[in-house]
Formats: sequence, structure tokens, C-alpha cells
Amino acid sequence: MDDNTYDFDMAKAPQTIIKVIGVGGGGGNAVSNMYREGIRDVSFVLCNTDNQALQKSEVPDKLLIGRNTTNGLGSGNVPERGEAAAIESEKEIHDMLDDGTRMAFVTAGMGGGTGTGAGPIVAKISKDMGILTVGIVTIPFVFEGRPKIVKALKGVRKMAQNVDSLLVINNERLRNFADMPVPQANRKADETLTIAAKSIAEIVTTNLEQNVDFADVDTTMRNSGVALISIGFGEGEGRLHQAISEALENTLVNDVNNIFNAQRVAFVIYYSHEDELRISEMTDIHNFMSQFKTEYEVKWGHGYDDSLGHKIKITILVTGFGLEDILSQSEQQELATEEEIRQAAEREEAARKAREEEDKWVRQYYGDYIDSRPNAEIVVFAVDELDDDALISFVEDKPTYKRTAKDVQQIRRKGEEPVRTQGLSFTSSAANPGKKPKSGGTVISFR
Amino acid sequence: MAYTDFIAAIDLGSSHMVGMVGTKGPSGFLSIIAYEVENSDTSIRRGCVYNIKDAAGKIVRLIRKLENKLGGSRIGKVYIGVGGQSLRSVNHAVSRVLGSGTVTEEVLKELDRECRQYRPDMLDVLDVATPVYYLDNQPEAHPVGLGCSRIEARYKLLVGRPSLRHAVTTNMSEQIKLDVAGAIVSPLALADLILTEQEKQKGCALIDFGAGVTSVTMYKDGSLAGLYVIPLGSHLITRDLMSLGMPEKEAERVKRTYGNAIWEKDNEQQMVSVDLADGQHSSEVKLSEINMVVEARSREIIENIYARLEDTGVAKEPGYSIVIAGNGAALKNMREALSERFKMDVRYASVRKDLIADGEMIANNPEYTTAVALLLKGTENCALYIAPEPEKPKVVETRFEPKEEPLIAEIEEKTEEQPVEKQAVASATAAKNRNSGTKKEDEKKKNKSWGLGDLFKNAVDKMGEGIDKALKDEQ
Repeated sequence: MDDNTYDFDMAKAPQTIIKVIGVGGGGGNAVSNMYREGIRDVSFVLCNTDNQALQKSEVPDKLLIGRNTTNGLGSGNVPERGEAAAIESEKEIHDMLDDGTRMAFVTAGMGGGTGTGAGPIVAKISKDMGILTVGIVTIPFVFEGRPKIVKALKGVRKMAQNVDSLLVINNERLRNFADMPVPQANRKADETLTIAAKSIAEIVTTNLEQNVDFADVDTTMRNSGVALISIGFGEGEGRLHQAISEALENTLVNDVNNIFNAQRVAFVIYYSHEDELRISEMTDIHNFMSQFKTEYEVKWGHGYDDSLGHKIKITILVTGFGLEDILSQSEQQELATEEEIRQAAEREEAARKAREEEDKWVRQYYGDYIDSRPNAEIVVFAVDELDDDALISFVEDKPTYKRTAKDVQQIRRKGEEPVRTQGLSFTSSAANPGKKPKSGGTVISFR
Repeated sequence: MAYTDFIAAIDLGSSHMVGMVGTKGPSGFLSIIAYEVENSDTSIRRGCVYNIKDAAGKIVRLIRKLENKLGGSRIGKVYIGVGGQSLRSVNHAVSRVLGSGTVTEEVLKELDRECRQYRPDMLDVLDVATPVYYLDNQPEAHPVGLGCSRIEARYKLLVGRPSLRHAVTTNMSEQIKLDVAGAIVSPLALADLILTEQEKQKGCALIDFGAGVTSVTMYKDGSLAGLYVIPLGSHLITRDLMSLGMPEKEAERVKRTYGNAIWEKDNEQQMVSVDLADGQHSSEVKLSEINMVVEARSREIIENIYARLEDTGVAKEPGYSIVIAGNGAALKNMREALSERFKMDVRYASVRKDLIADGEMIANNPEYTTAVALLLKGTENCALYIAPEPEKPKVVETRFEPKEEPLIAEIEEKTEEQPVEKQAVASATAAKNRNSGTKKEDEKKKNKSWGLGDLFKNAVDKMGEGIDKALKDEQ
């Protein structure tokens, strides 16, 4: 095993102050993308539990984490395993970052195992080292299902606690690109990650006419909570105005006006030598800036990007944005432990709360996108159950929207084995999330 | 005007029971004479009689109210519909080897007799639907006169738990002190009232969304393909809404106003104001939450219907269509939800115009449709035979022209005074029994109408008695 894993090799790393770390599959893809596109003065590292995925990438610096935990075979979609892997490799991660790096991007896709679990740990190590740490994460498509979404949002919460600034990219936004094939949509998701990381890196590394430098970015992003980055383009008459409105429309916020409540703001305007920024366009900038209610100075800059032609581009970076909206006090608390779960009453309450909480997160991030109806455990009677009073009473008394598969399974089983029915029995869902087959074995009864 | 030839039927619904009286014209048209409604409260559950005493009391009231509208005629017996939990169809085949003979009417009768003798375990046969005949395994609509070596009649028996029939026949008859002319399988009757022959031929299912149960009656190639009663009704939607903390009445209102069988995302997060269970405060509930509750339950009902279509093998039948009836069908988007799930045409029920002479408006009111259907199935005259007045001794047939009778009380006296025809004795005594009940009630009412003075006098009397008694005891 050790023969074909690549250890992080310090000598290969160029001396740069910005490091982009892709954790897990999604993060890895994004970083590979960026590497191919080639951003100047930035170094790239991949971290994964899956050796195969690491081998595939062209990025030279790779770090296999959790060699003992996962044997290089991936985390099997279990965030806990991803987390354990990162903790096991803490030293290596630390060494990898300890090369003069002053700003680190931790990019990861939330909802799987490695990115969700290891991402926050990598970020924590980096932040503890005093590096300005920016997390860039994607959250899944609605069609990927509620369990994945919930897992992802839990990951986001952890991530937010361990970074200076967090960018959340909602893949569901890509849905707007109409009938895109799924693989292409996934590539698009990676691309979004790429653009986000690249845009920030660009601000720091490009030498602008009116410069925004690392210190400015540091001020904007240090301990700033949730960040948003947004890009807009404009061309022709009123191109800057166009670019600004496009950038505002492209944000993840449901209410555009919210963006002006952000605590800190930085933006950069790019233009080409062909068609430079004009004095007349400064009014647009002024109007745009005056809308922000922040106490901090709005930091902005402008510079050349000759690939733009007649277009103008604006990159807006807002931070300290809606932190309390996204992470409320109650969400900081851990969910009920398994001990508590054993007390049926509390368990019910906790489950309900957790669900409500989850609903809240899901709504926060997906509000507009969720059009799938909520899940409900429907009972379809077999012909010989049409006159089964016990089952019918249960179906009547328990509203469909509140029912769980467990309830149903239990009552149906009751009919078959009346002996088992005394006392409360339920499956220990927390102990083995979906690992064992549903039937048999998973029912533990407590008397 | 009194009626002497009519049919009376009672539909025992889980939320309402309907009594209806109608008469069939010579061409088979039905005219509705009178109808009355009683709230079922808790006496009927999932379409079955749950509390026989309560149900009987309500039926008696219904009959009395109907009689008030009959201008003097009395109801001697009633048909009662059965359509509750446990009712369903089962297959039963009977066959004969004919050698090289011909199918005759006699053969068919024999098959029928044999079928009717069949008694399944633990189940009561309520009705037998017209069979499909197979001559040497080939289906044949009109077998008489054809030759074959083996004939098989495939029947659909309509079965239910034995209590289903007993509760509305012998047991009910005892309670209401009135003959029950018959128990009619109401979903079948309803299908005959609503579905046309063409629809049955092409393949069509009638779904009756009741408060307590949802019945599915399926036809294919002109005959019954299956009948099931799903023990879930639209009242459950109300009950589910009550879990959001509103009282029943409010839940019912919310269901009717905001209920929606299709999940619709609500971007505006609309709020709906509802009265709370304490009756004093109102609260805001999210429209999306109401939608979630209602959609989940109606989806459950829809899925159960689909399972029955699948069981019967008609779910994938091209051109198969659905007709929906009952109050539950009025839930917003129910038709659309069914159409989307089943990928079939779905239409709302309307009664066949060729069966009802007048009163179509009433018949098309989902609350009354089943009662109308029962009337159509009734065959026996349900009028109580009233002995002729002495002045007109000629009239003795069971069927006679309507005549004026001013007051029930008067007829009652006459019947008691007159020597009665033998065949009518039983029913007359039944009527008498009922009447004595009313008298007692009247007396009670009289007793209750004491004035204050009376009460005082009564109290003084009682005190006096008490003192007398005490004195006696001392002695």
C-alpha cells in the first residue's frame, strides 16, 4: 500500500503565499480544474482518503490522509470516517501547510464522506496555524435527496466553525441551466468551485491599477463568517451597471437587498486595454458603494484583464454576511446523543426538533429550489389487510405526514408475532445509519 | 296526497345517513318523493354500523321525518345499503362438463344455483355479480344455444364479514322494529347509477370518496372486474389537520378552504389564520404545512386505490378511465392528482339521465347519490299496507291509487279500530309499537313542562311526606 501512495513533497511546492487545498472528490476535481487553468502564484494540494482518486489527478502535490483509517479506499460516504482520517493525518496536513502559506482555500463538496468529514479538520488545522482560511464548499442538488442534503448542511455548519470565511455554493443553482445532462451538471458544479477560488486568488495575485492586496483581503475575510462571491459581466451601454446587477443576481441570497447588510465588502473591476474604465462609469461604482451599510470601508480596486475585450467584469466579495441567519445558537448544539435517544419520549422530541432544524437549514439554502413534495410513509394495504382492524386503526390515528417507516414496520410485524409487541421497540437508527438491511436484526426492544 | 307504492332506502354513510323515498314509473324512471338526512356522529364507522342502538335511533328518526313528507303514507320496510370495511369481491368459478351438448337456460340456472350455494369460510356472500361464461375456455357473452364440451361460469362474489350484513338486516330490523327489505351492496348500486354501459364495456372504475371509506368498483368488458372498500376516508384528512392543533370544525373548514391534493411549493410562505382548540385564540399556520398534511393523506388514499387497480389487472389497461364520486372527490386537485398518478382520464360523476325522471339536482348532490342508487335497486314495495276505510271496502290490493289522508294520527286510530287483513298484521303491530314509543315521549314532555308553582307544590308535598314518615318512625 505504501509503495503507491504519494506523500506530500515539500521540495516540489513553489513558494507561494496562497494554497488551494481540495479535500475529497468534489474538492479534488475543482482543484484539478484550477490547476489545469493555471492560476498564477498559487499552489495546489489534493487531500483524499481515496488513493485511486488521487492517482487520477494531474495535480502533483497529493496527500493521502487516514492511511490506517481507510486504507486508501475512501470514506464510504461516512463523514465520521473522513473526519477520523484527517485527524489521523493531522501532522502531515500541518507540515503541508507549514511552508510560508498565508492564505489557504479549503475546497470541498459537502454531502459525501471525505469532504464533509475531513474538510472541517483540514480547515481547523490551517486556521489554528494563523493562516487566513477560506472554506469554499458546494452543497448538493435537491434531487440528491434529503439525507445527503442534511449531511451536507451539517458539514457546512462544522466548516463554518473552523474557517475565517466560508463560501457556500449551492449546486441547485445550476438547475437554472435548464436541461443539462447530469455529468455536465457535476462538472459545472466543480467549475463553480473553481471560479470562486480563482476569483479570490486573482484579487490577491493580480497587480491592479488601483490595487487590492493580500492585507485588504485579509481584513475583509479574517474571522468574517459566511462570505459570498459573485461575478458579473457587462458590455456596451451602461456595461458596469449591467455587470453590477448581474453580480447581484448571481448571489446565493434569496433577497438581493440582504447583500447590502454585509459587514465587509471588497470588489474589483476588470477591464481590458481596449476599453478601459471611464470616469463616467465611476458614478455607477459610487452608487453601488453607497448602498452598503457597513461600518468598514468598502475596499475596491480595478485593473486590466485583456481577455475581456469590450466587456467589463466585476468581482464582489462580501463577508460577515448573515452569519446569524445561517448559524443560530441552537444549531451550535449537538444533536441528542444516543443515550438520550434510548428514552423514547425524548427521542421523539429530539427527532422532531432535529427534523425541524433540518427543515430550517434546507429551506435556508434551498428555499426556492425545493419543489419536491415532502416524504411521507404511506401505507398501501394488501388485500388481506383491508379488514385488519389493528393496522387500520394505526393508519387512521397516525397522520400520514408524521408516520415513519419504523412505525409501520412495527405494526405490521405485530400482526405476525404478537409475542413481540410488549414494550417499546424501535430501531437504533443512530447506531447504524443504513448499513444493515432493513428487515430483521435492527429492532432492539426495551422493556 | 298519500303514496301507496314506493321504495324506501337508507344509506348509512360514515358522516351522514340519508333516507330516501322514491317511486319507479312504468318505464323504469325513478322519481324522488322525499329525502332526509341525519348526522351519523359515531354510530357508523368506516361505513359499518358501529353502535347499533344509536344507528337504529337515527334510522327511526329518519323514517319518521320521511313519513311526515309522505302525506299520510307509512313506511313498512326499508332497503339498507352496505358498503363498509371488509366488503370486497372474490372470484368463484363453477363449471359443468356437457360432453357434446348445448348450453341451455337450464344449464345456466344450475350453475347459478350451485354458485349461490357456495359459502366461503368466515365470509358472508352479500351479492353475486353477473358471471362471465367460458365455453371451452373461450369467453362468450351469450352462451345459450351454443355447443361446447365444458362450460365455466366465473363469478364475482361480493363478500364481507358476517356482521356486515347482520348489522343492517336481522339485528337492525329488531332494533328499528321494521322489516328490512334487503341489504344492497351500495358501491355496485352506485356504479349502475353512474357508469354507462359503454364505459363498463370499455373499462372504467368508479371511485367513491366517502368520509369513512373509499370504495373502488372496477369494470372491464361490460362486467364487474373487482370491488374493494379501502378503509380510509376523507375524514382522516380532517383528523390529520387536527394534529396541527385546531378543533375538528376548524380542521374541516381548513380542509375545504385550503386543502389541496397536489403538493405545491409555496415561495411566499403564506400564512393562514386558524382558530385554536381553546376556542378563544387564533393562530397562524403555514399554508405549506396544511398542504403537506393534506397531500400526504390524500396521496395515501390514491396509492391505495392504485394498488387495487393493479390487483385487478386494470391499472395498465389502455383506455381505462376513472369516474370519481362522493364528497371527498371535491378536494381541490383530487381529479388532477388521480389523473397524473394513474395516467388515465378522470371525470366527475353525474347520474345517468336515463334513470332519473326528476330530481336530478338532488341525485347529483354527492351526499344523496348513493341513496338514489339504492332506490333504483329496490324492487319490493315498501309502503305499509293500510287497511281500507269502512266506506270504501273494495280497495284491498297492495297496489292502489294515491289517496288523500290528512293526518297520521287519524289513520293510526283507524287501523287500530278496523279489522286488519292478515298479511298486514305484523307490519301494523310494528307500527303500533313505534307509536306507543312516541306516546311515552309525549307524556315525558308533559311531565317536564311543570311550572314553578308545580315544582313548589311538589316540594311541599315531599316535605310533608318526609315529616309524616319521620313521625311514624319515632312512634
